[in-house]
Amino acid sequence: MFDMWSPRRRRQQRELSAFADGELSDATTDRVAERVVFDERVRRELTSVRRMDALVAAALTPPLPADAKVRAGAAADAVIDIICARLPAPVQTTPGPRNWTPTVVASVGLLVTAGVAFAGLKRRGWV
Amino acid sequence: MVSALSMAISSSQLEIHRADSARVDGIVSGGHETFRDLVVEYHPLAFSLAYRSLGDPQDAEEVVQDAFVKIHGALDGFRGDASLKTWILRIVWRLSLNRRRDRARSSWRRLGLHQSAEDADVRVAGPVAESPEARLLSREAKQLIRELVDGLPPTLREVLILNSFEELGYEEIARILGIPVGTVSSRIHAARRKLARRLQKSGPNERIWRSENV
Repeated sequence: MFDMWSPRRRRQQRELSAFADGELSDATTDRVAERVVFDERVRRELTSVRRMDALVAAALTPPLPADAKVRAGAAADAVIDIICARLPAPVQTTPGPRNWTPTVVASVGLLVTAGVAFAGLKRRGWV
Repeated sequence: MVSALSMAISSSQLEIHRADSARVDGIVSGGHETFRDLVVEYHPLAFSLAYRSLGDPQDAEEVVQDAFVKIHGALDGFRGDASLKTWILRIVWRLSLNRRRDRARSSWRRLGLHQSAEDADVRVAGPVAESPEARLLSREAKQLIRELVDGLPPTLREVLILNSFEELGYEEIARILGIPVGTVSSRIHAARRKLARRLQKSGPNERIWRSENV
């Protein structure tokens, strides 16, 4: 009467799988929950999905070290060390004479010229 | 009603992404101490993901370290399209897949001369705590299920591994893998069916659990 491979049956099984993960909309959740309550076979299927999930999680979950926070801190320090080691060496930023901009050179030149001219004028008594 | 709910969800997601973007800005301008805090916060989740994919604590630790170094270099490019958690897990997942591929190529692995599961368990330093379900599973049963999961087609294996995280919903899994949410749902269903069939073929389920606890 109820074909195991019918599209309707397959859709119901997909819904049950999503129901086990709490991933259905409210309306569909209500519909599937009703089936779970009133249909023994659906209830068995849900139990086996949950049991399968528990098995997979138990087999795949890493053993939790008691000092997880300390390990995370040590791992973070190691990451920071790697990042720092990869940073380029700081470039020397002390400006030498060659780093003077043309504006600075021109200003200094003007000041020297004005100073020499002023001294000459003063020597001749014009100022 | 539904649209109001979805609007509320997407606005709360937007808030999360906005907070993440602000946090990333802080890290980029703040220096190493703020980045260190980020690593400490996400390390357990990242390690757990890498371990589930690789089944080897040392490999997982190395992958996570590489991932955080890459994340530091890529923080400038974080645009907040996904949450920071999803973005970090996506990078960890991709590096884990690369490591799996490299490992598969290694002749040592192919010849079965790499360390056994017992060695891998021993190499997790310090005292460890297991979940009640994990304690009920014998070492052989864990190995069997891990092998069955490893034997699934890659597209099914990846959704099953990511779905084994309680923290990750279908939408986050979809973002990490770059596939539609509907595909995640149907692949998880297919993976469960296939795994159940393979588990049935491997013997009665009762043998999976430790006899003293059954």
